[in-house]
Amino acid sequence: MRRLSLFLSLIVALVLSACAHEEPSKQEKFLAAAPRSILVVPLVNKSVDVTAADYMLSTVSFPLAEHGFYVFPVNLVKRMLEDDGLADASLVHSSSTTKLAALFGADCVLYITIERWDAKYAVVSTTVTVGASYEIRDAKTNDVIWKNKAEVVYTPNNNSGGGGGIGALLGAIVSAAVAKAAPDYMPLARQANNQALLPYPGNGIPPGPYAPKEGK
Amino acid sequence: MFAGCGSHTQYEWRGYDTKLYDHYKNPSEQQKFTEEMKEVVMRAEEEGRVPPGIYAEYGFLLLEQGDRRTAVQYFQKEAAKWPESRMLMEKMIAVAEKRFTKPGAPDQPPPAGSVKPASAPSAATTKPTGTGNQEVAR
Repeated sequence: MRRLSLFLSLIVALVLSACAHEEPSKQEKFLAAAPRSILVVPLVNKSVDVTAADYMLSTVSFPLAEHGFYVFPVNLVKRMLEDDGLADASLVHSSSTTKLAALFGADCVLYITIERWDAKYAVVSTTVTVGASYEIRDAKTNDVIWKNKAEVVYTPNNNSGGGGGIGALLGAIVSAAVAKAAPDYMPLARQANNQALLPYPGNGIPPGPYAPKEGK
Repeated sequence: MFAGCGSHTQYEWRGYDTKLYDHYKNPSEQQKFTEEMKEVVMRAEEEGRVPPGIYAEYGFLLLEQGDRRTAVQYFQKEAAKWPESRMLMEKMIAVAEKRFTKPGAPDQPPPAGSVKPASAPSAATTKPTGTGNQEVAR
């Protein structure tokens, strides 16, 4: 028994050290490129929810800036691209990163694609599942220097209306109705963006030049 | 996660994300959004924690509403605070000052069109003086 657990912990240690070892190489390209500024272009939305891209774009500056990067003003960028005949996000995503970045003086470009944004309406609660993929390409080389995915399942206000029993059920029904009428998916969008961008060490992006030194 | 709680953030956001989303939901209320962004900028400035992009975002709204002069001031503030923004801000300042004498067609095929100042006059000629933002002139 003892021996087994020792063996197991050895394996765990090996696996952990393998992960720890893998960490730097995963972010190697990003660290080598060492971008200071990130241009976020309008999102490609493959879901049926037309508001999904607005939610995700509105909430993406916060984690990136708090993570230490200069983030170009997303609304200004969106509008300037539209003025340039680049209102179609998939067109933007398929154009040259180098040329795009040169228009704004950006070090790299973040491309986000919403793969799914599915709402499931049930009696007691509404559940939304969001899947999105994130990719950063270097302005100098056009290379992908980082990528990640987010998958978030979200149920707005499902546990409100306390007291239990019928009260809880009614509360839940009300909250589902409210969610249908005026859903607030900001927390969901924030969560998805944070999940993809922030975990570091992990699959997130390494902190930028303005990150607090303590590494909080 | 830490979104929404003002205490542990590096910058003062004042609900910028929600305000921007509301703007996309009700694009006709541009005036309201501009007012809200003014509030965001003022409060963040008071705290000395203006997030990147926010001066420029506000400046752009002013530009869209035709207040070119104030727009230029905010583009200058952005450029002074964030060196990474300088190139874009110089363009924006040029755009702001050109909107007056609306240039003709873009001189290059997209995506190199109107984002760039339409032609030769460089940022140097458009650099306004005496707005109190000498840092831009580096």
